[in-house]
Amino acid sequence: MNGRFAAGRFGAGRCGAGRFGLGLVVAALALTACSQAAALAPVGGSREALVRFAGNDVLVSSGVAIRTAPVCITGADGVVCTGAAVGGDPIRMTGTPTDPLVLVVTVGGRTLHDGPAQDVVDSAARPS
Amino acid sequence: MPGLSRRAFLATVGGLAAALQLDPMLVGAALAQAPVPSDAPTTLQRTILQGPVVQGRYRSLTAGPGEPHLPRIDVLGREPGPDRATARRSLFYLGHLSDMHVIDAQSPGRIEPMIVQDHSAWASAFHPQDPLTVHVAGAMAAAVSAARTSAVTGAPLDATVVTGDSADMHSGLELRWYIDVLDGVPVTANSGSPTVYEGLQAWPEVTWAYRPGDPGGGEFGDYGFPRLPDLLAAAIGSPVASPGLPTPWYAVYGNHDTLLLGTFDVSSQFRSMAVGDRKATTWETVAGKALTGYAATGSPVQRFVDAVDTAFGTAPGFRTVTADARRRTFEQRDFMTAHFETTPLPGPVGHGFTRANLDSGQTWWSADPAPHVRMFGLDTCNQVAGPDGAVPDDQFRWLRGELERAGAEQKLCIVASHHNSLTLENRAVRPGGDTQALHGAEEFVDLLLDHPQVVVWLNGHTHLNQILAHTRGTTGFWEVTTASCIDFPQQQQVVELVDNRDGTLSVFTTVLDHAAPVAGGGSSWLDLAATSRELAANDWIENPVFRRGSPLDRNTELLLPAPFDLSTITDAQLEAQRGTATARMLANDARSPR
Repeated sequence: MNGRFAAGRFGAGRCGAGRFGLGLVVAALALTACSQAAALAPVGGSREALVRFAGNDVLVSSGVAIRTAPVCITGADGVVCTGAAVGGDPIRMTGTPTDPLVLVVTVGGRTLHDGPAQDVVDSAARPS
Repeated sequence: MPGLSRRAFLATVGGLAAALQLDPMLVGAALAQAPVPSDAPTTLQRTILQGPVVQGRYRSLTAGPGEPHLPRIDVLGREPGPDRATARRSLFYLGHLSDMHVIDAQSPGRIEPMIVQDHSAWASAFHPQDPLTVHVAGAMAAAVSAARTSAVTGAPLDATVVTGDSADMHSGLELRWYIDVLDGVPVTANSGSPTVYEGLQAWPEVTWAYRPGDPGGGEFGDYGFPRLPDLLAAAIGSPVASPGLPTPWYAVYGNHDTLLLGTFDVSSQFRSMAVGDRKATTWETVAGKALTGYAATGSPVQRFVDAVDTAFGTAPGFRTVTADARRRTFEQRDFMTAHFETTPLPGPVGHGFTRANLDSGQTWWSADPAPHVRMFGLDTCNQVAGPDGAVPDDQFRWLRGELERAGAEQKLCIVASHHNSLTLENRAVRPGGDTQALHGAEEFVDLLLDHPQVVVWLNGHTHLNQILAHTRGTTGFWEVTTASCIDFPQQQQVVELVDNRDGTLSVFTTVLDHAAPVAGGGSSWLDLAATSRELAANDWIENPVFRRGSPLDRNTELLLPAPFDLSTITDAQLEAQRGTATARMLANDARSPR
């Protein structure tokens, strides 16, 4: 298993940017339905990474011994990550496609977190 | 396995002293010391966290507790041996830098006003800390230098690799600054006027930018960004005295080293503007006149009128600045050439690129930074458009052949590229241009999995700490993505390959904060780097705290099965390798000030 097929793809040609210059890109983006952030932001945030990081924060702070760190896939219903704890309990992390992104983390059916993902990373980045 | 015999030790000392023109007594004393794990400052001892709100929503930074190495067994698939910590020996110790984004903030060859069009979409066009990137790069070199001895094994640092996006806006001056900083050459982060800061952040009408002299009137002021009236003058006022890297360093291309803003063609119009004396202050000017789109959309008459306006300084949306020819945009091959204009130490001249690269135009390389380690420096950048990348077929086939050869030679393999496995799907091609296949993440990861001697893939691009496991059956490798020097947390890494002498290998990753103090406020170059970090931590549009990654992405011990019988690498060979690395650092430290 690995995380390589997850979303977060910012394929450059798909929005018609192609070889055009910046001015045309701006105009094209205004006229098409593609996401500006997806087309232009080379290093923008990713909802999938947010779910992965926040979920892993929850697992580590809860003392879960991880056998396989959750691998994430993004679909129409949001982000779903699956992994396994040492001992075999399945780990499942989900992130809604809504704003704010709501993260649910379960291990072996036990819910460790159900709330905004951003709150988790904000809390982890500040003194406890 | 015994280490060097007395005779071999003396021969090693003599050889290194002669080759590096060092005092044999000095070399002998250094090599005679037993390796002791270092307690030099890293995030093992201390982290940097967001502190309390200072004003509005603006937060200071504060020191947090250190984070120990967290074992990860995704690839190994079983509990690691409990006694490995007492048995292990270092095989290779490497610095990993990425996404330094050195910026000439006063250059007309920038497109900062685009954030007004859409701040989120164009966030990388302007950061409040843009004038301080040279200071951060110097502070990061200082952090790597401080971590020159492993905190795990006491081994000396063997090499450093830089995985791209070193120059932000395709500027020859940015390219020069980045190389000089890593070489330990003092850099004054100024261009244009020698005495006056001529950039957007000094101009009162540019209310959309963070203007440290008077932050009010725009969204940065509303957020609570501080008033720092001396910041811009201090940024250009004195040189950044970077100590440079202590080891040989290697470099690969990033998308910012290939395309404008890492995304767009560099037009002839933009090239002219970069070395000219007009700097755009509005996004309409940038989008409509400064770049290729204008030439494609305006009528010939209108283009002529606008050209006259621009030439005589009457066009709206421009400010006159001091032109500087050093700001010329570089061509693709210039990136390699610049790496030959370097100091002999820490070297190597070319930094991975060789004369063969210059002759052929091939932008990827392989090198043996230690006798049993082979590193592959790839160019995954799309030459046409778009920030993300792919692996061209000629490079893909080259790598497959090289990996087969390295496997036969029992080399531990490290792959270094700019893009990571989540950003390797850009197959944009120029109509009528190169038609070779571009390989994406699935094929590339499969290629690496075909060769179990690949133990780690180092990359960057997404400005965050992230570690992914790639497995197939009972083998696999680790993918380590490091953060950047531009966005918070402004962190990089050191990576060490360790033989546990039980049939397993560990890859230790240790995150480095740069060497600036936690709190900003002073005016030394290190203090300015601290200010940069604090500004970056409040650049809300980048979601800065998220880029730290989780504990599984920072200080880790990444276990995997040994790809071959590691006892074939003798203790004597490793001792000789340590001696070489130690003596090289002594020579680097002893060189004359540059």
